[in-house]
Amino acid sequence: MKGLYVAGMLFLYLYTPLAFSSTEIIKFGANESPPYWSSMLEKQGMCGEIMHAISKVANLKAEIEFTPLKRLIDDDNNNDLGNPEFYMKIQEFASIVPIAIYRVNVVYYRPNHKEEIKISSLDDLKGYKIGVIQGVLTEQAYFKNAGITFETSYTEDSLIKKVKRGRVDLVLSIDLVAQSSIKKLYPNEIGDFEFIDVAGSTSPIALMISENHPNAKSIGKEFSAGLNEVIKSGAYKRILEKYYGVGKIPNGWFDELNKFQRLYDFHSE
Amino acid sequence: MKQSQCLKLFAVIVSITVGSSHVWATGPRVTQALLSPSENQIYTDDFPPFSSTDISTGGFAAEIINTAMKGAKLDFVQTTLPLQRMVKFYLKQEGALAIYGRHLSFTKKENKNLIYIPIVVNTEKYFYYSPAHKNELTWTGNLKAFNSYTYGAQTGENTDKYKKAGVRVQYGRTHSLLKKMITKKVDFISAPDINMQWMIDKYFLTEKDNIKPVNGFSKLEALSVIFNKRHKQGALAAKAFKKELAAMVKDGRYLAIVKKYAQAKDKPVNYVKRLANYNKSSNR
Repeated sequence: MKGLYVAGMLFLYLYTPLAFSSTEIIKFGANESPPYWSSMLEKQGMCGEIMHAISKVANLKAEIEFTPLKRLIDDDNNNDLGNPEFYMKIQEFASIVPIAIYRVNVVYYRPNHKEEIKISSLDDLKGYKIGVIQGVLTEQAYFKNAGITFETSYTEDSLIKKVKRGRVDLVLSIDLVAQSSIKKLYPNEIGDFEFIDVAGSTSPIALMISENHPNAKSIGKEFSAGLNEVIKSGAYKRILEKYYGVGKIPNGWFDELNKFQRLYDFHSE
Repeated sequence: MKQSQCLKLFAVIVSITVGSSHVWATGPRVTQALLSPSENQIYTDDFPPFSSTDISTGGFAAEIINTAMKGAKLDFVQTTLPLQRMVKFYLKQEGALAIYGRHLSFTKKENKNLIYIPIVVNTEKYFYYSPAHKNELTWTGNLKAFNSYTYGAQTGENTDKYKKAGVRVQYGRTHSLLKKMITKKVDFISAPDINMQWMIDKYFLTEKDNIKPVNGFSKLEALSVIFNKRHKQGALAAKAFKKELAAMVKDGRYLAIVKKYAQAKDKPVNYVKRLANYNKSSNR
């Protein structure tokens, strides 16, 4: 009897860690960036929903901790969510899994302009006052020499108000962020705002697993497999359409996502 | 200050702090590359002060390339990426016009479609963390003398010679390798002098006196722009670039750029001499 008890305890001792490993909570850091990641939104925003859907099919448990971006960038030991380019300067990741993309749009308020505005190159921006979020403008000297004038604001809402009032002519913004702001501020005038898609402006939104996280590579592989599964099942498309509208997912979404998956595929190295 | 004024000031500070803390992830990165639908893309990775998004000009090498490309009237856009493997991806899979950076190695077959044009020749050294070693590290001419050590290699670097000599190897990028060296996980790393000083000044200033060059070791390493012959303008652009670079060296524009970045201990004119000698010795 005693032997059976010892054997039972030994069995539990050996196998309990394995049983717990599948319930380990993988913590990610994100900063408030609605509607992509937000503690205020249902299922933590569009990318939050995608991440939780992937976790479910991959049998992983993932949690988001919302923290200011600077702290996330300065912490070179944590798992992050967002555009990898913001984090990679001082941190090494064992696995980066792009799960979505975002694009830059030029937004303007149609009633303020007699004619339709067409933007296909930097030259087309000359003569307009352009609103951008504070901190996103790099190479200021270049733009100054090129005769392109910017006005900065601290929030997206402020930019949208400025473009409506005519204080700026155009706003350079992320598609869903601008849409979300317009819906909130001017729900009856959504159709008066025009969006010009900026070709080649796509960036990835990814799950990034720190090289110091236990089993980082295998967790990354499981997330990748989970992503493929939710894409295949149609759950992924349904999440996107919840935010973009049915039939309004930006063209080329899946090709761009695939490109970023290849770009960040560390497992093939 | 009245209470209402204090509250207003507090509200402004909070709005700026909170606002600026999340703008980065939701804002577009407004760079030259945005809205520049050029077919002539040049990619590099973060390698300060040669190429970096932290430097307003783009960096030492970026400025040489910008000047030469503009002088040769070549339309182009430069983009700095976080990883070396991404630079290779854009060359091989997206057909970029050109790339540049450290340790960009290709197979013999791939090299047939590439044209290398050296733009800067650097003095590269081994560095170590002195608190981790009782005695100064000195180069004896044989890597085997370091076979009890761990070398911190750049991701993508060819490490065959270290492995053959019995030196353990860990991979990373300069920032993480420096961190590993300070935490004693790596014993020595290799970098151009000017790159190491930049990294220390920016990220590890308190360790400035502890990160030292290995005595008696230095070698010359060329940083080249690699043009892609498979790009429809690749060969012609390489030819025009090379001609303009030679003109820049001759008329002093090259030296003027070097003066902006060279360290006090390395005379700017040395860069001009090293580039000339390198080209001469390799018959470029």
